[in-house]
Amino acid sequence: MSVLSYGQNNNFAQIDFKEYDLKNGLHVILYKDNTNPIVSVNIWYHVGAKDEDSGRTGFAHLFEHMMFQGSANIGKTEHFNYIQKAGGTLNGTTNQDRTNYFASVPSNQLELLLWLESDRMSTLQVTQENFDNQREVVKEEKRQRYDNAPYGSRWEEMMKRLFREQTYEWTPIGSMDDLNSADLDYAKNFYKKYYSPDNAVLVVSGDFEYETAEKLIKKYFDDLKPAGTVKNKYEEIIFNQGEINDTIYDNVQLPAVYIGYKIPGTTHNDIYAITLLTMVLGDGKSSRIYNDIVYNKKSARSAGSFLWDNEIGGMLIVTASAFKNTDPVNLLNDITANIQKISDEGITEKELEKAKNSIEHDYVNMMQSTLRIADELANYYTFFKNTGLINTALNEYMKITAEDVRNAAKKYLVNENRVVLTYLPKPGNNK
Amino acid sequence: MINNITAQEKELDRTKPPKAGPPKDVKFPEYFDTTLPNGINVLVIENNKIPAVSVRLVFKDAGSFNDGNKFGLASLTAELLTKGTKSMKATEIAEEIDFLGGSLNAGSDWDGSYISLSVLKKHLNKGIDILSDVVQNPVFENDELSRFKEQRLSAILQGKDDAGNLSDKRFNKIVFGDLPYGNPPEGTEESIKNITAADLQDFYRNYYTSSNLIIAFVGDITVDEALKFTEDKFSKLPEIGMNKTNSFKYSDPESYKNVYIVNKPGAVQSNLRIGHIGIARNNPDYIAVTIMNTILGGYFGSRINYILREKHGFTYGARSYFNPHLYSGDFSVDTDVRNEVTDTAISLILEELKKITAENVTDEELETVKNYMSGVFPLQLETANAVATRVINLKLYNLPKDYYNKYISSITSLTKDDILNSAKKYINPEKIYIVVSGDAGVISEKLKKIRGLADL
Repeated sequence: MSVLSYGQNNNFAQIDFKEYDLKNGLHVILYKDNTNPIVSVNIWYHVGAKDEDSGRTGFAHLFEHMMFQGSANIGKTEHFNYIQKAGGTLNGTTNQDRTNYFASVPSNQLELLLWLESDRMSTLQVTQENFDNQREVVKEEKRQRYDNAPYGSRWEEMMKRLFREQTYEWTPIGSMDDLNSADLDYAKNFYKKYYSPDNAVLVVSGDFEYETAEKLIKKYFDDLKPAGTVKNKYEEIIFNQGEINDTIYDNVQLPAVYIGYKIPGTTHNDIYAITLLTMVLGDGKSSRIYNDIVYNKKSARSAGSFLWDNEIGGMLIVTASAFKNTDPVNLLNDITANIQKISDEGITEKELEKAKNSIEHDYVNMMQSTLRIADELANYYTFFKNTGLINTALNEYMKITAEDVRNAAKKYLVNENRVVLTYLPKPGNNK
Repeated sequence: MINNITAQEKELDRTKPPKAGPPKDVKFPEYFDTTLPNGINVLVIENNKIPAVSVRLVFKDAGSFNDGNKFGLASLTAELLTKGTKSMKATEIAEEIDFLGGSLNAGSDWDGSYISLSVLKKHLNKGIDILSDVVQNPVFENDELSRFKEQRLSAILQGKDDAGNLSDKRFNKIVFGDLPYGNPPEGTEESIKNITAADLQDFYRNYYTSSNLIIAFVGDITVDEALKFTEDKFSKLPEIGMNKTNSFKYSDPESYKNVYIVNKPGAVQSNLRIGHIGIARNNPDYIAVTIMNTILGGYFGSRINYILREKHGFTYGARSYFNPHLYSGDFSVDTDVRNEVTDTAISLILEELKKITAENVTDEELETVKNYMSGVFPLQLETANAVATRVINLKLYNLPKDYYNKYISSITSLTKDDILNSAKKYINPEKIYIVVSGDAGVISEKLKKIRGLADL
């Protein structure tokens, strides 16, 4: 149990939290803030798309849907009903590394959430009928968000090239074939293997008293059995595998370019410098790529960069949405030249300070929302096993020098470490 | 199926939900509200939780409703504010704001235009200097305008890839015809090409006036500081612009007899908009309508979502909306379903529209939604900016001053009869427009059985 505090360069309020383990391995984090009469429960299971076996893509996400379909004491649709009737909101998300479930309710309803979460952590009921129903729902989700959406296949196409035969070769939505062949037995085993207290973090945040919350958590979770699962071995990420440059024809009006550079995992020390590099490159209208490509050369309507980090390895993504008459080859060359310039000449002190100011601003804004704080706490525990980073990560960013940023560019932003996808209108699609 | 609970836990009865403790009172936060002699309405929503401040300027009437026949004018005017002033170039404005780590955003909707600054407290003076400059001294330079127009034209073109966007446009046109809400607020390819810097200047002069201005100071700032900033930094605007002629007369176009298909060859889903005219934001029945709509299709637990998603697995989600503006609004059921079930989904939705106007909702449905709406109210007030949005809406939509103080009691006092009456009054299943954006070659035969097809 620890209550952390720091206060070096900044006088921002600290996030004071408590954390401890139950004897079954459930990690509990409590963040108390009695400003508003609301409380949130956020559970992270350390399982995501990267834990799927091949031929089972999309399963972690499909399973997330099943978690709302009922357990020993809660019928189909009741999970949602109980929470909404209590005046709350809820949802769940699945990414490459984790699946989270979160709900916020008026603070007098905390026990309800703990009852619901403990029931589905221990006695989920997966019936064939509900499984088939949610399979169809997820297939519609895939159609709506990816198959029927312009440029909707870009991340699937990116990751299957960038991470070929490595961890993260597919996206959480998976393939239609695998969704069609998903079966109930696999679901039961998946549940047994990953949905246990020793693979989860429970964060309670908002309006509660420590003593009450600790007692209730003990009441509902203490007797759940751990699974003791040994996780799959993850394939290592291999850098600099040679440039891939492919064209994809889609139901779109305009060309677009997506560039992905491979970067190390979330906990790697280089991530701080890579984050600042991403911002200098393409975060905001004064960033290098936006300024050059969109403002000066007028060869794209919009352009930018962002970081997609995962536990084992991630991507620095640069995107540009071209005009009708833009030559995508020129566009790519111009973006590459901007990147090369950072490797050759570095960035200015002013650019560095600008990026740090933006990080600081985002950090302060995060502190407005108890649910966002809960997410950060769960994130730092799950991947770093160091929850206190919520208070110290900002200082790690402040230590980064312009030279660190240049070195990150030299190390990771090289052509042989990237995949380029150019999206073009399907012939005959120019209405 | 799988039971991970050990035997020792007999005393805990997991079969019943725990009882809730006593609910805490929810009070809408206090705020400062005054109108200065020059007409500026100053609001201060003070909150010291984080050392940050937002300054949000809203110009009433400077919205797309007043575009006239230059669709996109309000939007372009707002966007161009941050693209150059008498003393700063677009790139300098971007650089200065980004350097503060903050944000400066401008935009518009149907009812007004908005410019918001968000910075840490320590950068507030510098941030307000920039905000003050872009609001009071924009130059609407030709170069910047043509650059932005190219971007907008390209965005409009790209919008044609998006099924939901295609449905929205067609639906609004069919429901509102040539009235302002029928036109696209981002403009059309033709209208954007014809908008000039002089148009922007005129629009700015007419609507960016102190009597139209609401300034909300939000976060770590005192009333005294806010009033001083207002006086020092925002006193250069003219008080009065154009006389307002904001009349709105709706006559139902008799075009609901057909199904409208927006053809999107190769689409693997159909995007549906099923509905008609809705209500203005200050309609006295707004809360009753919201409860009724929530039961119908306004949240996950609603009838329409249950039937289309949880029962049939036709969609990832289905919702209905009353989308209110200052003078009117629209009502529609929105969803995406796979091609094969397009007609069935439409029939199911039409049945639900009939049912909500014909029968009382159940006690259980009403109680759940009342609890839901009152319960999420404090969630919606978690941040100072969320509170500010509500206070601004009171002003923008001329709602009663005590609207939010009475919000929860207004919800709890409504009866099943009130809900049925609001459905009968504001949903007319006999005059429902159906717009489908999807692959006409695949879906049109089946849709013909529902109604005749309008010309593509």
